[in-house]
Order: sequence, then structure tokens, then C-alpha cells
Amino acid sequence: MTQENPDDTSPADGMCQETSGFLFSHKCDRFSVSKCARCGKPLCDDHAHSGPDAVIACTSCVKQEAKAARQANQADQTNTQHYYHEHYYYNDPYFYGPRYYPGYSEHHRSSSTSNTSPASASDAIANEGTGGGGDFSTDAPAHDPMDFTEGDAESTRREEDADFETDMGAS
Amino acid sequence: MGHLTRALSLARQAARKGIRSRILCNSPFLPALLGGRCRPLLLLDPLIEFVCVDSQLGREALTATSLREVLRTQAQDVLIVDTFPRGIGGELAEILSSIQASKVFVHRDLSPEYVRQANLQAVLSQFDLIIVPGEDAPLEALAHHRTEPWMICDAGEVLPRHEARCQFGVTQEELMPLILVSGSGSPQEALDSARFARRLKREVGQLATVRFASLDSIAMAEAGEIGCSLWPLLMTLAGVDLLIGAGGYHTVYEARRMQCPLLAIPRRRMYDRQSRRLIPSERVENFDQLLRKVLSQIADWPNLPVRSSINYLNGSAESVELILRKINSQV
Repeated sequence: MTQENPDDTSPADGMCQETSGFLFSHKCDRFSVSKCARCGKPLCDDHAHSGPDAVIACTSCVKQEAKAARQANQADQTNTQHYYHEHYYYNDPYFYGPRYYPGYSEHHRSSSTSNTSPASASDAIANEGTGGGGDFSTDAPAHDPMDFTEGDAESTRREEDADFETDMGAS
Repeated sequence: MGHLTRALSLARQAARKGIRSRILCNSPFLPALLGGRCRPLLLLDPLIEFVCVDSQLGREALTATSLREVLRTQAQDVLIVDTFPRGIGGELAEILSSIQASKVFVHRDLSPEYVRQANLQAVLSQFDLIIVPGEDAPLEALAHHRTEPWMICDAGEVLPRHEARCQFGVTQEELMPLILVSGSGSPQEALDSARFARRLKREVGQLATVRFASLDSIAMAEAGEIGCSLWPLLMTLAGVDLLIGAGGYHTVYEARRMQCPLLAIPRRRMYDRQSRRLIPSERVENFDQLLRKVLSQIADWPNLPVRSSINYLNGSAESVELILRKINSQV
């Protein structure tokens, strides 16, 4: 078993391992064509970002760097690096931040992974699964009018992840 | 429950013509229906027999049972498959072409992703008759017929308003609206609905009569004195002024056919698109919003238009005719 060299950005076999999505985290079903220079993760074209230093980075690493830059800026008002990150990736649909989701804050991230999307829907939507709804016995948080709701989309789940023909209780 | 209810709808209509039906079903609610754990407002014809499959069975055991039952069909029989043309576990895909019986597919709305992944378009060509039971469906273009929604009972069978309200213990003159919370879906969903019904009773109990109905025993226990274990709810909707439930096939179409106002929280389902089935005035996001809408409905109750007489067409009756016509054309 060999450890991957994060400096090796040659294309990797297999599937893209990035899980950042436009609305929700989900597996990527595209083949990988490169690797993240930061974490070594195999990446498809959509999840590979070539930054100002021409180094390929995954969506998650880019966001983490932008976050770190913002936090650094909060401590040092002369540090404009986070603006540099945000402006550079502004038009990339896979990179998002407070500019797209004004109400998004770090504590909305799931604790299970660092590659989570912002909680762009109410908890009832965010509670994804293959058969059940959320626990309606608890009050849902206030609804952000920018959020998608069940009524706006046929399905906000990524059905590719569903266990079709394996869950015998599904309907 | 929706699959079972559609099957029963068809079987009841077939029984009226002296046709025997055998329903293969793994619904967890079937034992409650057959075992007397609810008050049936309809009697099931003896021509309808059930093959009850344990709802806890895994894929391997369930598909083996399904295959065994399907292979029992004789050439003169009709095999009717509801919603899953490949079978719920894909078990029918390889054997459909070898089944001599006429094959009918009931095409309810389905997840387009499932349609794509399972290549259902190819499978549908194996069926002799495809019926769409009253709602848009992804492969509707391949269907032979679209009927009205399938109802478990005909318009002439539903209880009149006063008698329906009596089923909920409401016998006095109408001073308050009757709100019925339906506890369908998964055990957790049913339990959540029961808790909401109790909350609703606390909040609006002075303004409306609140009842809860479910086939789930734990949810019924949670509902306590406001619980009513009866089936099918369609029989009682003439007496209900507001139905609260989810966006399942029967909840939605029964409420609409009975002109009963509906407020529904669409549930996430693997194959069904409940949110798409609901119209904006019916759709609610969460229980807090639901409570606010209920209060609004209660305020409007005295001014609501009187319902016209109930006279809907039952798609299951039409479907039996279509099936018989198909069989006769193949003889």
C-alpha cells in the first residue's frame, strides 16, 4: 500500500472523490482526470479548479482556503487574500460562499465531512434518506425565502444514490 | 398502503363481475385490515384472497415469494403489476416474456431516475395493457389507457355527512368543523402525525373537533382519545371539513373527489413524487406552517361553499372493463 503524493497531479484512475454539490453533498459519478494538489483526491473536470497559481485544487480545499483567508482577514484588516479567493472563483458554480447564500454560516456544516454544501434548504429537506421524512415532532428552523423547498423541485434528493429495488419497504 | 388500496379497488370491481382475485402484498397494514384491528367500513368480498408477505422480509426472500406466486398464474389468468414493472426487487424482469397470462401494468407516477436506471421503457413493452390511474406518469406515452383515479369505493358507497361524522363520535348538530389527521406512511411518520393531532387538539380544540385515524397501532396509542381506527377513510370524508395528511396517491385523490379540503406535508419517497402531486393550496412545509393554515381554514369554515353531491367516476371500474376487453381480444 503506497501513500499518494499530493504533488503528483497526473490523472488518476477511477472516480472523482469530491462530494461538493451545487445544493447538497453527494457522490460524483464522473471519472477522475486529475488530482487535487492539496489533498490528493481524484477529481473530475467539474470539481477540479485551477487557481491563480495554476495549481489544481478540489472544491473542498478551495473553500477551506477561502475560509482560512477570511478568518485571517478578520484578524488582520490589511489581509485581502480572501477577497482574492472569492473574486477568482466567483463565477465557478461549484464554489459558493456568503455571496450566494447570505444566511450561510459555518455552523450549518455537517460534522460528518468537511465537504458539505451550505444548508440551502430547511431541515426537512436536508434530512435526506431513502424512505423517511424528518422528525416533524421538532420545530423546523425559520425558513429562508432563498431556500428551495419541496414545492420547488420534483426531487431535491440525488436519486442516483437511492437503493432502487433493494429497499422492500419503499413506495 | 397505496399499492394495496389500488389492488383492492380493482379486486372489488372484479368481484362484482364474479371474478376472483389474488393479491400478493407485503404491506405492513394488511394484517391490521384482515385481523380485525380496525373497524372496517367496507366488507371485502370472499372472491378476494390475499397472499400476505411479511413486511420485514428482505429482498431475497420477498422476491422469491413474488416469483413463486407469479409463476402460479395460469394462461387464462391476468397478471396485474402495480407501480414496479420489474417487480419491487427486479425479480420480474427476466421472466415476464415467459408468462403466458395477460400482463397488465398500472403506471402510477414514478421517480424519473428509477425509470432511467431500471430502463423501464424496455420492460413496459412486455406488458399487454398499460393503464395510467388518473395522474401524469413518466412513461404515459407508452400507456394504452388513462382512467380516472382509482377509488376503493364508488361514490354511491360513501357515507352521507351525518353518518360519516357519527363514525368519529360526532353526533351533535354541527357547531364546529371536523378536522381529521391521517396517520399514514412509515411508523415514525404516523407517530409524528399522531403527535401533531394531539397538539392540534390542544391549540384549536375549542374551535374544531379533531380526530386522528391510522392503521398503525403505536400511532393510535399516541393519539389516545382522539384516535379512530377505521378504514377506509374515503367512506367518511363527506363528514370531514379538513383532511390533514401526506401527499400519497389516495389521500390526495380521495380528498379531491370528495371535495374535502386537504392540507398535506409531502413525504420523501424513493419512487413517488408526493410534492409534485400536491397543488400549492394543499402543500405545507412543516407542522408549524400546517398549524397556521389550519387556523385560517377554521376561520373560513362558516363561509365555505356547500359541497355539491358526490358523483365521481371510479377509475378501477373502468380499468376492469379495459382488462376484460383486452383478454377477450386476445382469445
